[in-house]
Amino acid sequence: MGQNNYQGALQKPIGSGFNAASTTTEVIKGIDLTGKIAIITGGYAGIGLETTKTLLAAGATVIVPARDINKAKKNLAGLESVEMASMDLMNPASIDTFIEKFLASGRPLHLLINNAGIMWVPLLGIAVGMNRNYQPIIWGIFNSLQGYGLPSKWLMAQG
Amino acid sequence: MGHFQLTARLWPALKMAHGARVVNVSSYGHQMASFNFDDPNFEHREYATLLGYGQSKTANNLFAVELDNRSQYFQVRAYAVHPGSVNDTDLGREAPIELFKQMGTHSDDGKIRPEVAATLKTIPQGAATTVWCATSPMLNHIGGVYCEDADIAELDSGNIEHRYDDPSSLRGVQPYSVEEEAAKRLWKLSEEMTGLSFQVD
Repeated sequence: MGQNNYQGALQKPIGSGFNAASTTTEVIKGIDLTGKIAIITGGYAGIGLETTKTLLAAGATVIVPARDINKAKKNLAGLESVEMASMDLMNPASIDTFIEKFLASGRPLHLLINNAGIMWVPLLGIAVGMNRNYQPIIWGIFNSLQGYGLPSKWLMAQG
Repeated sequence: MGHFQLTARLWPALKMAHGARVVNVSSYGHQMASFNFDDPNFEHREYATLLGYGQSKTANNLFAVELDNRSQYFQVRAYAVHPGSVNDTDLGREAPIELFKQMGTHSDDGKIRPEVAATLKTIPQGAATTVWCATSPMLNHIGGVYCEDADIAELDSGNIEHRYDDPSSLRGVQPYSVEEEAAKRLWKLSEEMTGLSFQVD
């Protein structure tokens, strides 16, 4: 019987030996993913693309569902053991189509990385919030600039 | 909701792997808002991007907590990740450069200022926590946790000083985003909204 993390019971650093400056190359060192299958949403751009490359280099087969398949093909060109398929996370029917195809292949799924989509929320917010006040614009821009995380001096500027 | 649907319907394949992991890329942005069950879609209050974003990230964390609780008996573990503030992702190209210049993050030639870039992570640093959660043997017997900087994050019970002029102080996980009742309630809501019954068995 394992423990769960309710109320943050397990939220304690374990002294992994890594820190904010650690890179994918460092954390994957010594790990062999031969025979493992991964699905990475948004695995064709930004940190998703980096995650795809890292898992491929460790021996995994990586499947990248893509909203923009041409962009995926371009960004993933030349990489071996990568499979691409059309899928739009905003469209439930397209998710089902993607899944049915994967399940029909009869393969297990060792790693599911839910990486994509969330960053578009603040971008959407730019359009929605444009006429309201300045704050959503700042927030949206920050996220579109840096992908994730909080603004530092811009948040302060908002008061 | 897309990721809930994806995970739910991929469950048979995850179970078949005998030791699968699910990693939800979340963010420190969860600190901005708890999940509002009375009005999750902003139908009865003015939409505010800060709150919408924070709420969606909190949802990522709650989903990892509840998924791990249900799935660990089938050797499937779940994690939530804050990648850090990352420079040079693909997203910057979508926004007008004039605004970045106005904010002072970018110079007139459209390049990010070195002093701003120095406080941000590179892409290989930004993806490191995702890769660590997906593969590290140190996590073989632990799950449902929110991670940052390739380690498990500390619970933020008001003990962490968040200074907006120092990105390294923007850390920790809010208790409301790992809370049991909210995690179970969100699971139910996700099932209702997607029309899917996600039975982990």
